Amino acid sequence: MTESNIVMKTIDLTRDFGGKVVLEDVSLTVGPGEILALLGPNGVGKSTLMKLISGLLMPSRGEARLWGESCWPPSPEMYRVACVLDGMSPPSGTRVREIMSLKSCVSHRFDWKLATSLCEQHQISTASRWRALSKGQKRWTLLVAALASGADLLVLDEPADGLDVATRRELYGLLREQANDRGVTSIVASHIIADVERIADDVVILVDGRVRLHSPLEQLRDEVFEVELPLEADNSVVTSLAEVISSRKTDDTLIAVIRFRSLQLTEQELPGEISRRRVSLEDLYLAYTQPSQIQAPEERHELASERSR
Amino acid sequence: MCCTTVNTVIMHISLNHHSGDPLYRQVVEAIRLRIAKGEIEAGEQLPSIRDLAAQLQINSRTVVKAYEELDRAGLVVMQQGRGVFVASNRAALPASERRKRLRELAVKLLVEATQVGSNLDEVIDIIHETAKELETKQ
Repeated sequence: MTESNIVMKTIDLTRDFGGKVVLEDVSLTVGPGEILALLGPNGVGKSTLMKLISGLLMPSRGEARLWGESCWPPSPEMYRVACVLDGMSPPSGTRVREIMSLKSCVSHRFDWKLATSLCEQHQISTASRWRALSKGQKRWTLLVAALASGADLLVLDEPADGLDVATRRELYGLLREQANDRGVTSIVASHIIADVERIADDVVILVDGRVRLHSPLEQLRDEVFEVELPLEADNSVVTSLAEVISSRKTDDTLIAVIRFRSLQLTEQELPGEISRRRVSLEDLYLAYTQPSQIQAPEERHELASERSR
Repeated sequence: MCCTTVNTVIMHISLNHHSGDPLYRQVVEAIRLRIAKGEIEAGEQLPSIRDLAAQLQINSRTVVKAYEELDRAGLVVMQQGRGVFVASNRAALPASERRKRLRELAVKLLVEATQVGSNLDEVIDIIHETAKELETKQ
């Protein structure tokens, strides 16, 4: 990614609240038309990161940039961002139409036709007041306002909250469509890993406020395997070919989730390899958030600071 | 509309997002299978990158990667500005590479056969049967 082709970039982004560090040294980049998914346990700093990117929070240290401009204090470029964040709620008497109007004031590219049709398809009248909407309808209304805004970057915190499966699929279809057709970038935090697996181009796993993994999902699918090895397997050979993400012992074998250091290396057989299989993102996520048994200390450090680009 | 009558194939591919298999490989395998079965013929045009990406709701770069892989394997020809077509004369691989690839598959097949309690004769029978089925479809 060249510097001019970067939509969002964070450099050592850090934020603490009253001395408690919530987010530490987060350095990420996202390009146009990419969908970046943030994964991590609750309270890990995902929402804080999203607020920092959206220019709603001042960093304690480091910086978040959008199109090369700092997010704090918010730059004039911020009109190109639409976000749906946790706890966003218009006054209860606001009509759906007014929520859309407000958005259209900020963005001259607001697509009224799209907004109206997406509301109608979900039995939401633009005359309805906020308080009369169901939980799912409220969420959908905010998403529609963001999707129709013509923004170049969508920042969505748990967007699927309160949506049924069909609506979630529809949302992800729309995100992909906007990414492919208009180069819209999306940053999505979600705890529904199966959903992330469906839509993400890049995956970020946050653990304790730090980036534990940042990688294109297709590359992970290419390089990550769960392998079964004999207990006496030569660790040094294994770790020269792959990073051991997690491992556990059975009676006579070692089962490890590993990531080969390149696609080419996946063609090599590990010493005494008994079997290998590909893993789902859910398994991978668990592997990254669980401690490992045969990992060398320096390896652990390397993993913690890993950045794929 | 275009004046030449090149059929653009409508591609029904079902992707499994949760198997851990890279999506571009799933697309490659699905198209390879269709070509092998004769469902898509030489000279036929594959969907455009944009169309296939929209239909499968995946990143268009994933489709590009899949088409490039098929192009490298000599199964399709990517023509700048015109589209992607099923290759008419599929470039034969050098014998050594061909044998290497088939040997890898043979190992997988035989391991599976042993595990399910089958034997070499049965495997050979099945290969003959499957070849006949593919032929009749072509």
